[in-house]
Amino acid sequence: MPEQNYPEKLILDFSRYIVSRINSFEYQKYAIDQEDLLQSIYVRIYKIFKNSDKKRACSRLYINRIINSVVIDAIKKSRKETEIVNTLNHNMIAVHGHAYEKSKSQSYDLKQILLRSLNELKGSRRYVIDLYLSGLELDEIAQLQKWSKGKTNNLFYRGLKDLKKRLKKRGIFHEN
Amino acid sequence: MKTDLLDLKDAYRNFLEGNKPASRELCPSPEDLVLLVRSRMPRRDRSKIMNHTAKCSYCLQEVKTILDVTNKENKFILAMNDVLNSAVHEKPAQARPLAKRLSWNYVSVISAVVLLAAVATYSVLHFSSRSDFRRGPTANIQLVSPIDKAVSSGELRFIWEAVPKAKYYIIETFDATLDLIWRSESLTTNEFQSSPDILQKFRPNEKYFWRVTAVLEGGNKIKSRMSEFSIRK
Repeated sequence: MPEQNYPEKLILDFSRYIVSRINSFEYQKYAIDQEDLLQSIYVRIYKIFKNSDKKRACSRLYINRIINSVVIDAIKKSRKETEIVNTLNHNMIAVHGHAYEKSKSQSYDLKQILLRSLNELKGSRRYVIDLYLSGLELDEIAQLQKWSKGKTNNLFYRGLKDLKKRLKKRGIFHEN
Repeated sequence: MKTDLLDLKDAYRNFLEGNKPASRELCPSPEDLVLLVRSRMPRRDRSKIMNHTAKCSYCLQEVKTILDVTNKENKFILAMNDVLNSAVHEKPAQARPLAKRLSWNYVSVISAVVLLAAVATYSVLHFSSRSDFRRGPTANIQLVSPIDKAVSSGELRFIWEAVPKAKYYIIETFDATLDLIWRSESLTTNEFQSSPDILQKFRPNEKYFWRVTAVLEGGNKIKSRMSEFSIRK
């Protein structure tokens, strides 16, 4: 790769990353052209570097605006499609709901006990534990809540301790 | 019954999956989710949205995507700044024709200044015995090898031109998304042969970049441009 093309390559790699994250909304299902999306993001970012003076182009504001609009568009499209799929699913569940109810297993018990125990946690500890269990890392929770890492860790470990106590009362022993 | 964090996570996600809202009408708008991640939201609104997000798998996935994208965006902006700044130092903007920029009134003054500067530069270069005047602390480090090529794993040897007054060097390698893969300790020579445990960090046939930072005696640093390489199977 020639050195002169390096900024272009950076922009392309970044655009690919955005598309890959947007793919987590399962766009493939809805036949949205990946290449078109990649191309449009690449061109929009490339233009500001090509046409503006370098200092202005590098300012966060310009990149922020582009990425915000791309992500917001993607979420809106995804929501629209999900709405259609959900309506179909709910119709199916209405028809076959009885069979579905019978297939609930032991994990159902754990789920119910966990929910009851979580409901007894209070305030910020509850937030942190909920978000952690749903798949966010502690760093990400700190970033979202604008808390320090120390505060987030503290709330997490205290919340987990409370949760373990409550689970134990209900006959579930938590192993580290 | 015994359980651990993984079981709890599974159970909670199971709950979220089972409680997906039939309609997204009550979910916060995508604009609000972006504001939430980008720190431009009053605390009360933030709590409200976070409360919802912790229980809605759709919104959670969207928030996670925005978080990932925002973090990547920060890295991208830093990398672009780095690249553009180094390009500006190396290639000053192309000058417009002199006649367009200068009126004749200034020509004599500027000529005199240029002449003085030329004499001063010549004196320093000619009369100084210190070779590093010719390559001061703002000079770039020239990478020698590997540059834009694939090398076999046994031959991964980083070589660059020595910098006068460099106290030590540090090599950094990055993957295609510019995440740091490996950083060397302080090196006192201008080459480095990779050991097998370092080579393990690189996957064959993938693109990587490397650069060298020279730390000078006064504590100043000079960074080289990045160069691409890959490892053959």
